[in-house]
Amino acid sequence: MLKVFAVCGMGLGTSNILKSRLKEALNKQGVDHSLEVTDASAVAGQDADLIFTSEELGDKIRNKKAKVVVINNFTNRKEIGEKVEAALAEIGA
Amino acid sequence: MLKDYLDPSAVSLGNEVKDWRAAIEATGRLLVDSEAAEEQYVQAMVRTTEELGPYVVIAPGVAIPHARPENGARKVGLSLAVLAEPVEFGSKENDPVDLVFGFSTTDSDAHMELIQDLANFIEKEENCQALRDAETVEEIMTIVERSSVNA
Repeated sequence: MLKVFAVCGMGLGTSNILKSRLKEALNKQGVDHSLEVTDASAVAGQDADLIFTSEELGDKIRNKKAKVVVINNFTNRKEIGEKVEAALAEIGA
Repeated sequence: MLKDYLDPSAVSLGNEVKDWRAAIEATGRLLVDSEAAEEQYVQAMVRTTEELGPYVVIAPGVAIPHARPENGARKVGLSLAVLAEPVEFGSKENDPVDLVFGFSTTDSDAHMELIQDLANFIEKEENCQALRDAETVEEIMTIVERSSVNA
């Protein structure tokens, strides 16, 4: 199962928007996955495969294993769908 | 629906602010005015953005600053300050910002419907443009109500 995280500063706002968009995109791709919301510091110790976050937080994420994907417009289903598809292809999921 | 969360007393337009701090204070003040948050929440919103950076700018020209429930949130609330002139938040992709939606929540789940409705509203660029073009609070309320009907 693919372990996916949506990361924002507090885990309250942006990441919850992102979570619903990611869920749609991952289901569309038919990927067996878990999806959690967390903040930038807490994700460091997580066993993650894919981390989605903002440009600003991307540099602050320290997670050795996961691929970090930067999203620009968190409301945009098209951008998120395309980036999910590309990320899955890259990690071979 | 988004209209259920936005009180007219939490909306202002033509805000003249000099920087992102003042923009957050403007929308934070509206949360206090509409009794969604206590006074201290406003500076907590500014501090949070200072600490964590401009990630609250979630779409082109749109920011959703907020603080934590324990920073003085009284209920789930939404505010909107439409700026007279856009300001820089330091977001590489989405600056400058002229639509500043503040929100408050009492725990990490209470605002889920609000945040999803807000995201769906912002996703439609015609909604954002309509807010920028609006000249009265009543017009803004109509735009939000209409979007809720069409959602």
